[in-house]
Amino acid sequence: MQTTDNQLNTGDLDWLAFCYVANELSADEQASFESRLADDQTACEAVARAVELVQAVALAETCDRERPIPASITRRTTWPRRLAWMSVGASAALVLVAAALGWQSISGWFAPPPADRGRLAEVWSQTRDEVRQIVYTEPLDLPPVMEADFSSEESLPSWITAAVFNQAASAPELDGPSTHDES
Amino acid sequence: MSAADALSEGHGKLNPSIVAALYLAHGEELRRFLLGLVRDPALAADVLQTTFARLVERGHETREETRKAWLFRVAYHEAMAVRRREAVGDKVVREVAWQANGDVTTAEDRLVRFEAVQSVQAELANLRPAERQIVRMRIYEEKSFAVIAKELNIPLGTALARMRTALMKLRKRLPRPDEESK
Repeated sequence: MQTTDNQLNTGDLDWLAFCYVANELSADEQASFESRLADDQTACEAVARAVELVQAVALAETCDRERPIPASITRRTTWPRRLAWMSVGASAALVLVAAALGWQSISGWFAPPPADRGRLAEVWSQTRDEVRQIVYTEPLDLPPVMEADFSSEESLPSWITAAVFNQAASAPELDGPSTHDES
Repeated sequence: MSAADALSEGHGKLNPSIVAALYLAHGEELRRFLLGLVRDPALAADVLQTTFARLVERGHETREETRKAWLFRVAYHEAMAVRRREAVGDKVVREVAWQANGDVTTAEDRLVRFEAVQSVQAELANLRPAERQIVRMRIYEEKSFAVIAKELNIPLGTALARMRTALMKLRKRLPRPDEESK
């Protein structure tokens, strides 16, 4: 690869530096370029740029190559994560089993034993028939109701009478103009 | 800051706060430059440390406006010395082993790197398929341009031109060094 070092612009210098870094120069060109590096700071900086560029490209390509594998898939294959999910599932199953067992025992406390249900229905029917017979065949033998005598004012307490009359006097007239002359 | 303020009191060395500021401003760029020279993140980190140790020792002899250039010169010479000492020489300058994950030092560096990668990733998606294919084969699959041209059954010049066009597009998405240091 023949290159002339004279009158190189920045693009040429960058290209030359890249070829040096990538070991694409011949032995003579390499020696020439290295001797130039001894006192040419721009050439030194071009080498630094070439190194940075090559490293960045290499890393970028590496990232691109690794990208096709979705992160979720790689995470799924890790054992600690898998164990964690297994433990969560097992815990949930235990809770469900415990809840089912507990519900059965609680409902068993309140529900009558299945064997007694027939007997209970039989007793309920007999009781209902007896009550019907009592109601319809045997009238109640109750003492006669004592009629209260409200005809005389003496049967009412005096404070009730006073309260009623006071309320009638202070109530607003609903049916028409008041007949009372308050003056 | 005056020259007297820049010196540690009584030691004739550069003020540690200035060294720290210079590290924040130029450390990452220097590290990349060194990585391009020695191709090894650990070696690059060692040389970077040595460079800043030299700055502590000799930094007071430099002028403020030339310190960045001074740092790059020292880093270059230290890196070449390491290459000779380690007898790695041409052996280390083979294919770039872009161990991009292990050479970032701070959380801020990681954030900058993450943003740069995201920007480049977005721009990669905008490249023409032919350009992106070349970029992928050259950088990710680490094939030489000659091999790429042969596999794609295209002229070498075409492969180089596509790569160069793609790099120019991608480079626009990278933050500039002066933006990073802010």
